[in-house]
Amino acid sequence: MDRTKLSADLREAGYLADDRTVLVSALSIELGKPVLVEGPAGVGKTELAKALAKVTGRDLVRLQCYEGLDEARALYEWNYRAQLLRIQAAQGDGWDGLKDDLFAEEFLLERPLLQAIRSEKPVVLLVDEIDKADQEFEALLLELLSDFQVSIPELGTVHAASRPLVLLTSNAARELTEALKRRCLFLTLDYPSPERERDILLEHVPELPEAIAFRIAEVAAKIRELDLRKPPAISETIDWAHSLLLIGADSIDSAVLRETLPVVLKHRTDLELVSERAAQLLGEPIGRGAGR
Amino acid sequence: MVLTGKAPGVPGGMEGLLLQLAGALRQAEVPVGSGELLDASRALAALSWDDEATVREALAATMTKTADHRERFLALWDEVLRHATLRAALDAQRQAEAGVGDGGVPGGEGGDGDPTTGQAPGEGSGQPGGEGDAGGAGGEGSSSAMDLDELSRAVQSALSEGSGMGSGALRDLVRLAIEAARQQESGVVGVDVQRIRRMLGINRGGDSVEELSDAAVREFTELLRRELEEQRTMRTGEMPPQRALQQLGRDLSFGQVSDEAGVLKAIHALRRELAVAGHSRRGPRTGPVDLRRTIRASLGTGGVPVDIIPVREHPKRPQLVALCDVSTSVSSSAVFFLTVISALADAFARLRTWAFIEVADEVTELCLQAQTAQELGRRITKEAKVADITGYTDYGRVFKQLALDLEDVVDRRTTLIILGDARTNGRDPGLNAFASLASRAGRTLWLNPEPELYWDYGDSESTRYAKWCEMHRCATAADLAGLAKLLTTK
Repeated sequence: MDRTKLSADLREAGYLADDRTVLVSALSIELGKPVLVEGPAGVGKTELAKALAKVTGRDLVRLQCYEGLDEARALYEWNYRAQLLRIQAAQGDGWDGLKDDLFAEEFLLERPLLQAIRSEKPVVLLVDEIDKADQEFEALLLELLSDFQVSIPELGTVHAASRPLVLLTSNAARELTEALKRRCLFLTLDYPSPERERDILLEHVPELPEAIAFRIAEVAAKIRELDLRKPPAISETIDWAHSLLLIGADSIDSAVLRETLPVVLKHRTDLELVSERAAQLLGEPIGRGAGR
Repeated sequence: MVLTGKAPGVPGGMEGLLLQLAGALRQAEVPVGSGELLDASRALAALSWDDEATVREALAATMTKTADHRERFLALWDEVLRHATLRAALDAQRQAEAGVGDGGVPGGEGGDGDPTTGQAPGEGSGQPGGEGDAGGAGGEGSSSAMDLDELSRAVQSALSEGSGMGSGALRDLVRLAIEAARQQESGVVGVDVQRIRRMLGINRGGDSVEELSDAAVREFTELLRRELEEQRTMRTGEMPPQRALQQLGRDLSFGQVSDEAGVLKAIHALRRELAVAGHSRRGPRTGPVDLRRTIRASLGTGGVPVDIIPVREHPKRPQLVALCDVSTSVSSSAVFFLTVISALADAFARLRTWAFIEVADEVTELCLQAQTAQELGRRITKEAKVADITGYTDYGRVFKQLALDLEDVVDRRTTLIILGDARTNGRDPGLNAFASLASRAGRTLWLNPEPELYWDYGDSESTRYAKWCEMHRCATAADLAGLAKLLTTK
């Protein structure tokens, strides 16, 4: 796997990856191992999966995890309505004629995981926010991730028609089980450096002047250093760039910052904290703590 | 590339490096299984790598699974790599000495193609060309003649300028300094490091070098140590001991113990146990006679004192003395220790705590003042006088000192708790002093962060100490809870 090419392709797909990300992605494609992507919310974990799908020309199958997610939602379910109809339609046939095709594939409802491995064309499978799912659910993933197969009691074992490229994302809200971690490559993503964030902004908002892009990135980095409930995500700084462009601001001062802050911060306490320190964040020599 | 099951005597190739790395990681409590090793090996085979960073990241992605483990990996990487490079250089030297025709060098099967792969990623860490360079410097004849003050100034200015001038220049200065100190070389790396540092006047908090940051001094010391070790290795043909864990400790910051609540709970249980410890000694009732009660009891037998009633033993309040090793070798568990200590300090009014590395210093006051284990750690490193020469634990010296210092503190009511890894760094373990200390105490508990498997490995003296105390493995809140349970059921 040529890493320079992958990096360029990712960039073309709108994702600016650092060397480590490119390396681990290449390894994952090469070794056919799932990647566990860990990092705070809004650093582009999900975007990475989308970009990889674009680069490899595969469909993206996404499974959003949440508390209480079970195999009926994640893996498969029997379409019992259709099964009931089948039973009604076959009145008189007797059970023997019925039982064979009652659990046929036509009554199987595919959920994302099954869909991902049964697809003829290889796909990219994104298991998003795995840390939100229950621990039991991880057990469900184990078989899938190591052998790319799923056992369905009525049907037998379903083998993967193609090998999906699997990405699991986690905000590290809880510790994942050892067994799951062992099956994955590990990648940590963090907020980008101001230089990289500037490039990301320019990539997404091409009309933005470079100087402002860097300024946005700088201020965002400073805001993230504060003790906030929810630090601004990359997507939010992109929104911010859009809104600054809309109101035609050619520099960021505290007035502009306060006006546009709701684009970046979504908690009242966060808003208050940042507005309070606006001057300090922007390095403006006004206010009480001048220059300090 | 397939992993060979057993490492050849000389781990020159990539597999050897992987195995060494895995060993070091396991020692740092990062679980690395054969699956991870295989993945790492496959990853290297799949990649076209030509620089150290790629190899490092590929291995990090395959061998570590959490952010914390990744950090430990990165901390260990340089050390393991340097060790491997050094060994490869040593082998090359040996082979050269033995003559090219001699094929009987052990590990020869791995030696044909591997050295190139083994050394490629090591370029960044500096091939020990010590012999040639140092010789050249000595050849000028100027090094020993070079003014010490001048050298000292050069080093200090290089350090205060930071690493901006490149470590290559600093390395040259280090070599000059080693050359200048050649006559008084003791052969013990730690001693030489200190001697050269004193010679150049580079000391933390020293009057002449106020402007030097701790980091700069540390960097210089580390460089000096490495250079000395490399030269010594090339000269004597002995590998330096691996300092993986210590190395790691220097790079890890004081983090949060994940299970503080668990520690508090376990301490609470421990407290219940220790609260009754004083009652447990039940022997024949002897001692001075309680005259009043004896006479009162004699009234029932017509004034004849049939029952002699001794003075009632007062329930003894347990007194706790904790000795905590705070050296770098235990710093991965130091946060845990300090959490235990601060929880103990909250639970027991009569706790006195000593922290030690080479010297022991009472930190009872600090324990009471510090709100959190983190704060306690910071203040101990700043305020307590626990190290003076090398910064490595010296149990013998500490126990000898404490046997005197604690003469009036430790008695039969005292429970002595020692938190440490029993690694003496090859020094005198001071068993006699420890025995006298332990025998004076009512009960001696030693909490060792290492699993039993590592006891007595290398410089660990666990079993010899364990003769005089109850030694338990204790590195997590769960261990502590288990320990509290064990003590209560006993």
